[in-house]
Amino acid sequence: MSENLVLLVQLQEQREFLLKSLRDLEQEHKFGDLDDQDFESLRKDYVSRTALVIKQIESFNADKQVPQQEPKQKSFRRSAITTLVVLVFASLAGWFVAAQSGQRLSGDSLAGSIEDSTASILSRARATNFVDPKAAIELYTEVLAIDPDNIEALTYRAWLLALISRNAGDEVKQLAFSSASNDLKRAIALDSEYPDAHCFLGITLFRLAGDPQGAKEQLTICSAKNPPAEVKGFVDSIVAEVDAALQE
Amino acid sequence: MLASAGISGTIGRAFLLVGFIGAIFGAFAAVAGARRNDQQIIRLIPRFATLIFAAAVGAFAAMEYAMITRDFSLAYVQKVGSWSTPALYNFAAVWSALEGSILMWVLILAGYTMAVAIWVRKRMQDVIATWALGVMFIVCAFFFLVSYFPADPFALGPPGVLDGPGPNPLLQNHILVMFHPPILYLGYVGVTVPFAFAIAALITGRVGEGWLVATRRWSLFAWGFLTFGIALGSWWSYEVLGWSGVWAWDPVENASLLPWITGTAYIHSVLVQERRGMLRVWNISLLVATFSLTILGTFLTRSGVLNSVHAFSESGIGAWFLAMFAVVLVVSVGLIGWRGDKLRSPGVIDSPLSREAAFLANNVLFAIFAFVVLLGTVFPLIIEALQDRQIAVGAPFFNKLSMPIGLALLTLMAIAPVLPWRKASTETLRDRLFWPAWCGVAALVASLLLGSYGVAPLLTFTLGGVASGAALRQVVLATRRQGLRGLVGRANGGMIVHLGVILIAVSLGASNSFSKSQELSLVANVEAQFSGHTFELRDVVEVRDDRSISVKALVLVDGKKIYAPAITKYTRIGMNVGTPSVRTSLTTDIYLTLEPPVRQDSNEARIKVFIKPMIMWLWIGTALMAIGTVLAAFPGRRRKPTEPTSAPVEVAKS
Repeated sequence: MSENLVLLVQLQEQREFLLKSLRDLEQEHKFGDLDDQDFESLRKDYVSRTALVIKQIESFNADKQVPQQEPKQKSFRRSAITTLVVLVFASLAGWFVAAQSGQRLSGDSLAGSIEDSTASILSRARATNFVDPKAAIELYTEVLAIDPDNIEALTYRAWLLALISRNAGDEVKQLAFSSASNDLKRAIALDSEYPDAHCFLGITLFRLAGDPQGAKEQLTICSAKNPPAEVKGFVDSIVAEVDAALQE
Repeated sequence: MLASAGISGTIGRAFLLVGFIGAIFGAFAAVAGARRNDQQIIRLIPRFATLIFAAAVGAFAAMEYAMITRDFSLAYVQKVGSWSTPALYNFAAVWSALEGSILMWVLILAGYTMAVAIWVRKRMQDVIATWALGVMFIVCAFFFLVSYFPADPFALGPPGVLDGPGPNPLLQNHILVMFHPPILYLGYVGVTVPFAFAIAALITGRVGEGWLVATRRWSLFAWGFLTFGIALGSWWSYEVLGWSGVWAWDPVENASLLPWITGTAYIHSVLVQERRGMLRVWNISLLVATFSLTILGTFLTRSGVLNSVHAFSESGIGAWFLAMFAVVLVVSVGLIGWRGDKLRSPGVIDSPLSREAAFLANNVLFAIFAFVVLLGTVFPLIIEALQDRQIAVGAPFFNKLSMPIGLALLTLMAIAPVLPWRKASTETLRDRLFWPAWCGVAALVASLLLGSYGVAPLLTFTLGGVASGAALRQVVLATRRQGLRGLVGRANGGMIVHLGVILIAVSLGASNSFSKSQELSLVANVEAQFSGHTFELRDVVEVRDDRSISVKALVLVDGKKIYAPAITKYTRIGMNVGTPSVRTSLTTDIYLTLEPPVRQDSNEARIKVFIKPMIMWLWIGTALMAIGTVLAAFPGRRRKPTEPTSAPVEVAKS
């Protein structure tokens, strides 16, 4: 089909569509799907569009040419503003998504996440304990938000807090000690058989509070309760120092 | 090699080959028939459609037969089949991995192609219908080819295998595996029909409203299936995954959400084109985007580039789908550019306070929403490709951006239905917003009295009230005039869908803002309390069968009924799967999960308890959306849906 013929067929289709739409509109109005205002405004629009299409068809029939519509002038200003808005939005979204992204660990999904159980959060925290103590503290805090009495989270959050405050000023060290010892004592109160809490309380008392007597008591309980090898390593390295301090 | 294959494998591959050849011939027949207007060739097209459908049914049946008879000569059966899998899950195992899911795609696509061929059989001389079928045949050929080569479900496996691990335990843990994937695929694949007609309209240059009205119901049903499929996925997530959530912004969930967002924008903006003749380029672009996103989503989730609970193992189909995505985009954008002049809309928006302006705003918001979801999903891939860093974009990104967009959409949903077309006067707005506004006030007061707090939830409930008032106003006016028939038709069915969406929004607002959770260490016969409810561990029991060992904690809730959250170890795969137990009511769900480690001989168990308000309304809202979609698909008082507005018009005699 020639281009003109295609255009004519399209116009005739358009005419049929508009005439049917007008009939539908009247039906819809009659049955109450459309109120008077919508009916009137849509009818006017359909009528004017139908008139234009019929005029174009008649024009074709008269001189075999379909009158071309005047091309709309593209507004440079509007295009520029639209482009600018899109670019600004895309940049902001890009910045935001970059700011919200984080390291992907093995087993993590590329996007989204589900609310983990304390077991899975604890296993992630354990994996990052000494690699990224701050991240581990956040994970333990997450566990405690779900389960405030979680002994492992209480113990290890306190221990990591004590560790990262070692090189801080006295005031910060004191605050860290206070918070860490409270959590460790709470863990011991919840389960006095858990060796790690005794071990870390002992080390903390010695390193941060300068209390060899208290430290010795906790380290003795710790050793008696067969702590994990990793924790035992910490304890073994400090026992001699504690004994020496007690003898002074 | 084929000679040594199991019989089902040989037959299946033969069917796939026949389907591919049939699709290629069908495409040639459609293109040649349309170009030459040769009715003899055109008459062959429905036969090719029948042939490819029969081939797809044959291939799928061969795969089912192989799975049911445990034909372990096939690699796919070795991967997902097992003698110990129950019959129901064994049937569904066919679509539980990459190759089978592509085969299901082939079956559904061939079904749609045949359905379209039947639908247009009386107007096959219309070139739009012929070209549309041509496009569908080309898409069919691509999927048959993918299924024959890189995702061949009938490939032979190593010899001597007598049993397999069975499907992923998450896919043999709930009856929804039978329904969620097929329904989602009906939506995904259904988008091909309006897309094919849009491309046909662009090729023929007949880009008026004819093709669009003709395919309205196809679009609506594809959208409806997609909606229902996504909702079933949420239900599955809630019932099976044990984290108490319905949406995790997982890449595969996002891949299904993206075409839904653009599809939703389309079914709104298409009304503007029908009524005012505007947004022609936009509507065609939305259809192209929706179809392209189904292909992109398939690439993302089936190529192995993602790491998620849904992602299938690495395969060679990534390049195929990426190439298809590129072809679809280049061809579609090229055609839109070619037909640019004809796509120019005759009308303009008269006032920002009009129905069409509200639809436009709705579309801008949906476009932003789609961009945000796409960005968050592919951003880690882009960074990994450019910088070789592995990053993740967590749920907070999506939540932070989707909440304001959701509230803005809810605002539009409250206002748009009462706005008249073209222009609204102050009096009109005052009259039409009177009852919706009071509904909003009532919702706000009720939520405050019930103890709600916080800006976002209160805003959600208030806007939900106004929006439901606006939707109910339309429905009440229609039913007062027409009785129950007033519920039928596009406008009124659409309002029922709106009511469903509002229920979902309110439910999500309530459950996200007011959920509580706590892990309880329960000791047998000792009562624990949380959030006004009591929990008592009665026993920890072990249940064994051929494929799994389940440990169940029997927990008495509020002294009334025993619930049994469990952890099941699937012994062949060595994977633990938690199974939550939920007490459901109209107001609150009590959701229990058993936390590891757990031993059968123990008198203790760690139970995680979630108290989640209004979850039931999420499912009620979904049902309402499904009902509304069906009602909207009925013609109401408008033209008969089968009346071909795209039928050829006799050329005026000169």
